[in-house]
Amino acid sequence: MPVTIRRATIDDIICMQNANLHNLPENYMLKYYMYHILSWPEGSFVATTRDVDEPQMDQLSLEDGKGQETKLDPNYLAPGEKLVGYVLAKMNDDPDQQDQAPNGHITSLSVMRTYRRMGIAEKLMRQALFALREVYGAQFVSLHVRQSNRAALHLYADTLEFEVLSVEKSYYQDGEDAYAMKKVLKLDELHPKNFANRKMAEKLEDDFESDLLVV
Amino acid sequence: MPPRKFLGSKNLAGRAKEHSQFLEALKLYESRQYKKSLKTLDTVLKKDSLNIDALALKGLDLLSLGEKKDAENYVKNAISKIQSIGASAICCHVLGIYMRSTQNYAEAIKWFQTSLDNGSANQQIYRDLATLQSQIGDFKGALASRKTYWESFLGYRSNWTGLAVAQDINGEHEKAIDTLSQFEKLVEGKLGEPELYEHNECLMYKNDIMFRAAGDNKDKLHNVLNHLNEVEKDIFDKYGVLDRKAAIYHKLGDSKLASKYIRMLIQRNPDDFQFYGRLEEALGIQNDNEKREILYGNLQKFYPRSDPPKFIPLTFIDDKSKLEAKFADYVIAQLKRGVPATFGNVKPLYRSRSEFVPISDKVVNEFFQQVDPYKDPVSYVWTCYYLAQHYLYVKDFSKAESFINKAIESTPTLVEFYILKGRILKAIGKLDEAAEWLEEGRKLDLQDRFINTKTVKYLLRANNVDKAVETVSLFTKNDDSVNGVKDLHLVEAAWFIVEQAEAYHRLYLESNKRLHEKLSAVKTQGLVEEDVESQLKELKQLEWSTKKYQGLSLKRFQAVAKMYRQFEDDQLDFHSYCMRKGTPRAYLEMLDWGRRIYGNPMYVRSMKGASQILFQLHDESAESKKEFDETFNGIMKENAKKSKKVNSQLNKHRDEERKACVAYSESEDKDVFGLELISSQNPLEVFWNEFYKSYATKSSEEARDYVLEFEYQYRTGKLALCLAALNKYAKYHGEKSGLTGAMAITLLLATRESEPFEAIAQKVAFKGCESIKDLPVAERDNQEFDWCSFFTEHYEQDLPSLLFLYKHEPRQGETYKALILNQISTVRPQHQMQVLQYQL
Repeated sequence: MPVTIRRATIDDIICMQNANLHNLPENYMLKYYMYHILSWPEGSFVATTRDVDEPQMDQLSLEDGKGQETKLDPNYLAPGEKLVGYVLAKMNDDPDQQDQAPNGHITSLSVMRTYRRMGIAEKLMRQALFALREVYGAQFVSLHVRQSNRAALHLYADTLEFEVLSVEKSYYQDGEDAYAMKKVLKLDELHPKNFANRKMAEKLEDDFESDLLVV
Repeated sequence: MPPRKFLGSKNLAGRAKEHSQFLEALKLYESRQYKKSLKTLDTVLKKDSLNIDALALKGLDLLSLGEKKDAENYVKNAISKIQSIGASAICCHVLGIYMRSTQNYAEAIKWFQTSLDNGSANQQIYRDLATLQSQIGDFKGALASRKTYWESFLGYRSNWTGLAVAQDINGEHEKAIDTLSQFEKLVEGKLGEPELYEHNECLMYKNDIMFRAAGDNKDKLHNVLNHLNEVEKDIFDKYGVLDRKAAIYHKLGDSKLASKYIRMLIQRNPDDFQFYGRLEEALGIQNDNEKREILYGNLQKFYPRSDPPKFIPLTFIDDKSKLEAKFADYVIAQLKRGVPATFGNVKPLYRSRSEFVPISDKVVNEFFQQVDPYKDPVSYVWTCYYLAQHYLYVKDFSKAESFINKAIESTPTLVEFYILKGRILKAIGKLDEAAEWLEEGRKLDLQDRFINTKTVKYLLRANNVDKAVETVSLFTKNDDSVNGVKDLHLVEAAWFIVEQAEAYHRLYLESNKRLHEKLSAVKTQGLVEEDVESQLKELKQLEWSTKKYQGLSLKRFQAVAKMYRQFEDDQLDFHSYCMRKGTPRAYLEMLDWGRRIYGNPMYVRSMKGASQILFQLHDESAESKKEFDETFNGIMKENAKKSKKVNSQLNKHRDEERKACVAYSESEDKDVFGLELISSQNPLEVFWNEFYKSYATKSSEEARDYVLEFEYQYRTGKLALCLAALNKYAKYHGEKSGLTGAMAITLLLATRESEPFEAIAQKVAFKGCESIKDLPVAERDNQEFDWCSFFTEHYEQDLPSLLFLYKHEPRQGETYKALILNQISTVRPQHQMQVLQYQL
């Protein structure tokens, strides 16, 4: 099954942590994921896929009694459901910055390499940005990105229209610099329906009334 | 033991000065000045060594300073004195805090409770009690505590929310709704901007409770709807509102409105498959493929960038030529864009509708014929990549390899191709070569952790632990360590720890086998004269490796179990945090998650891995162990001088080896190799305490592994519980399932008089066996009876059941072995090797 994008729940966090450990050098303990999901439950999203593999012969699978098989693999959430990407988002709750307008922060975003080029990261981000604005009233959102990460920079700067605020020297553990980026959030611009079509000219919108069962 | 009530002020009388010093020490503790606090306490104890308050607080101070052992002694001392003298409220409070800090929650609850009984006026204790009671699942107790606390502090929303949540959990839905409503009335018109989110969550939570309580009752559902409409303007979670409305209208049978709201949900997120199924259901067209086709045709126009409208028709269209055309549209568009997961996207279709295997073969091969590798290299290489996966799936390994080679030849810079090449080699059992190809891929993109991770996994599968650790350490923080193993434990990298545990286990099996072979060769032929030293060295080395690998394997499995206990414990802070933050809905999901946490795939995998080691340690008879030790030590003794020399040579490396395996800081853990773990006198107890207890008491009944339960109880000698496990297994998996048969036979044969089980247990089990269909209980004592033939005639033969019998019924071991060999002839070579090398 191709990829589903949906809101993250606490049931996803062990796999989110696993995906993060697979893909990125900045890692967090599970409690930090709990803190995100339990503080801002509507802000984070995951991409999952249904995978059906050969029955495992080396005892690495588990049947749940209904004939459903869960692979005993760190990517698996539930029978056949595998996590391939996530965005972990929060609101800025720094007590020293309470004078600012409400604003969000993208803590971490990653997609398994073998699931790239499907627009998953973009879709995850669009959902998260919309939610941060709609549910939490975030007026803007910020994030950090490694200077060398060209793919991510392209996504943030070109596709999602973030602006570079500053360069933070030696932001990362290994000494690499980060771009601090920011995007002002406007609710009507963020609705995912604005991005359902590749070209605006083709745009055809559901009016929720028309009969979908006639050609 | 239940602490006694404080008997009076006997131990305080005339000790006013000491008491005020104690209070001073308490203040110092509260401001985290533990050393100063200790100093003050010591002056108290100098004058009055029986001052229980001071003893208890000293324990807490020491704990805060990391002196666990000393802390425990002081606390034990204090408690033993309380038995006769009684304790002050404050002392009980201190002990409660100590117990909570040492994760002894049930005890902490007792002490907090006693502190209140003994007259503590500190109402905060109720909040702490509620937290602890929630953590151990005493929700009735939590309700009482939350209620008392709420009565004392009515001015905080969190207390109202906490009370409502506790009422809800205890099934008091009406009361919970009432609590939430009362607070809404109190704050009507008085809410400031920062409180609006919390308010929105609580409104939605109330609607949740109403919806759950309504069931299918139409009047109640209308009420839920009315409430939702009323509060909608104050709810920020618009997605939640739409979702709820769709669900209510669906339950009310209003398909038009239900589908309207689902369509709104789809517009918000057209990439969630779940909505499409619900839309079909709302429209009542799940069984009308013609209408479904029209539906998805229309939705595709609205959502051309989303997969579900394109993909779902592939799951139901019957007309072969139409299906082929749709499939081609779907797949080829992705191949042209160079989507790596194209095959992964359609793979489920191969399983659910086998006609896709030839369709895919035809469509993609035809496309491949037309692609010009020079003009359109993207399509070309990704089509090769697709076909390689296709042929891997159908087990045509040489074709799979030839396609991936084409891809690599054409574009040698794409990491994905090297991963697939490795996967194909792994499938045909060439594990070392597979790891080498991953390594080639890794070198192409040293910045990418994903390929690093994959490479490490392949290295571990090839049992190349040293190289794996070296590679994984490129991305870890190795501040005070020679490699990343410690950091990977710290960041809870279960994937690595489990893979390493399994690699160690395989290395153990290999090493153990070689050790026994070598030993029996020496035993029969003696040592070769001119080469005694190197042979002794080999023996010693093998003996050490065997122990070390077994210990490390169990140690790593245990690390994952520890991690999950930590996850369970991580919930503690959130019982009150979520009430303050105003996220009761997410909180309830957390509780549910916490109840199922030990059924998580990685926990189960670690537990099963550990069971292999611990069951084996249990099964090893004392006799065979003694025999081994005698032979081994005998040889060493005979060559005492040389053996000593060899020993010191080998010991030189021990420290280096130890450093490479360190997983925790030295102060926390001295058993780096896990040698203490494996030398336990009671491996079953280790299994129960460290792994199985949490799982057996905290995983859902239907998801339980009843074969493991059988294996465990069989070894504890509780045949009645084996019978229960067998019955449960048969209930969920069928009476004809292979493992049902294998367990039934094993259980029946365990009831023979010659077997070392308790007679009563045997009787109960035999009685149970009599009611198992077709099981020839009368043949139990017939030495000649062919159980193997009986099994194959009556049950579905599969690998797990044959392996089970192979291990439990050595009398017919060779026959089962032959059946196993036959059984694995059709699986991937990788799995064949697994069985041959490590199971037989």
